[in-house]
Amino acid sequence: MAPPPLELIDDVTAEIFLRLPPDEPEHLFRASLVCKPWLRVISDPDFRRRYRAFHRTPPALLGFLQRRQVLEGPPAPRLTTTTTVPPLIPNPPFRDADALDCHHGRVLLRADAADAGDGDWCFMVWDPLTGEKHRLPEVDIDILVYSAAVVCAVRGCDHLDCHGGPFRVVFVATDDVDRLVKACVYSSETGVWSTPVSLGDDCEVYAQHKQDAISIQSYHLPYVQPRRGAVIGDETYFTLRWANAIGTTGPIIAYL
Amino acid sequence: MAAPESGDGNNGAARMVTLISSDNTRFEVEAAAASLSQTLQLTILDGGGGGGDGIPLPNVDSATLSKVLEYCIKHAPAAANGGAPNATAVDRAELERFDNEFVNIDQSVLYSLIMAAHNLEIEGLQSLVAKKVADMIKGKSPMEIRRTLGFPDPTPEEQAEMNAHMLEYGWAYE
Repeated sequence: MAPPPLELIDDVTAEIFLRLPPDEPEHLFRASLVCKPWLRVISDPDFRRRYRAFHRTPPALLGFLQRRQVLEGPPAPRLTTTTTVPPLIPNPPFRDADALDCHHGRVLLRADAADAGDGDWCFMVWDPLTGEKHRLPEVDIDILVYSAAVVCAVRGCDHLDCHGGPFRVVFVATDDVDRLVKACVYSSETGVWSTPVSLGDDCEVYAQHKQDAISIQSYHLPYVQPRRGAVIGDETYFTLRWANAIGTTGPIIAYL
Repeated sequence: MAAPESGDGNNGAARMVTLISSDNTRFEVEAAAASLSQTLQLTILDGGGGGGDGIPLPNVDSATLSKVLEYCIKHAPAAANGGAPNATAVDRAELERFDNEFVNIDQSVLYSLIMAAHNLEIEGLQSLVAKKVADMIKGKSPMEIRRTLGFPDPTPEEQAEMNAHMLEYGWAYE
């Protein structure tokens, strides 16, 4: 006798999928290819949240984005996977792009001429799961050195199921003209950058180093170090440098 | 010493309730065992299921219900102990051995069991069967999963979709 067809309601299949081990994303991925109802259950954000809560694990780490300095020739593709799941997007847009930052399932790239399309470069936010690319408009700062971070836009989010939601890009740079440290924030919801604000003397570290610089009539004011910022809760911190002294910018709030 | 106020009946005899399967078979079982079901527990606390009344379970056939009750009877003492903090290692090992044996059954029975556990809200049983089915599909390709769980052959439409997926995610079908 042929076995009866599988007639389980979604709540019950979800209970089964919850018990697939979280060490390898391939288990859920393979199950999602079995039939449409299974795909529906597994791709439901509520299920993903329950799955992470059940296993007490953060979203899976898919791999490392490597930033290498290459003197000659273009660097090799730089997504090193850490699971048995190969990169879902076969050709990540790294060929002429630098990965600047990665948070909450998104990568911030500095993309080259080919992708920018106008012989210049641009910032691009790339979703490594869907392959979706989001090109950012030009920043209204004369950039000397800069750093930037891409973060989920939801205040207080635990990032268990925010994949694909709105995001912000926090940008901080030393202005090439007036040498001030300026910051602005891009919102994926409005599609524009906020008006840049300058770091004031209320930032103690900055004020102190600026004072030192002026007192010895140095040409250099404290400047933004072009390295990754640190995202802590809803705030992003970047490092400033003057001579050999290093300080932080103080929180730059991404949610203006 | 005051008499316990729980509904354990008189003279130490455990209170019994009657459950009636969809095919009209009557099962008489201790209230404590049936109360592993959150759904039944409410009815039982209300005094239902005793005497000639019985609680009808129109979604559960007798084969499934007898299996469900086998689980409930085995687990009732530990559940009454509040998750059995006092249980000895031997007791726990015995329950574990029972559980492993219990789910070592045909997949069609597993389906009826997990549906019954879901409808009757027997958390431990649902969890046990879900874990068993998860273990059955872990590490298998989508085709192997379909075979293991006795899916019917894919419709032409489903087959076309699978072929497209296979081209895109070949690794997942290995």
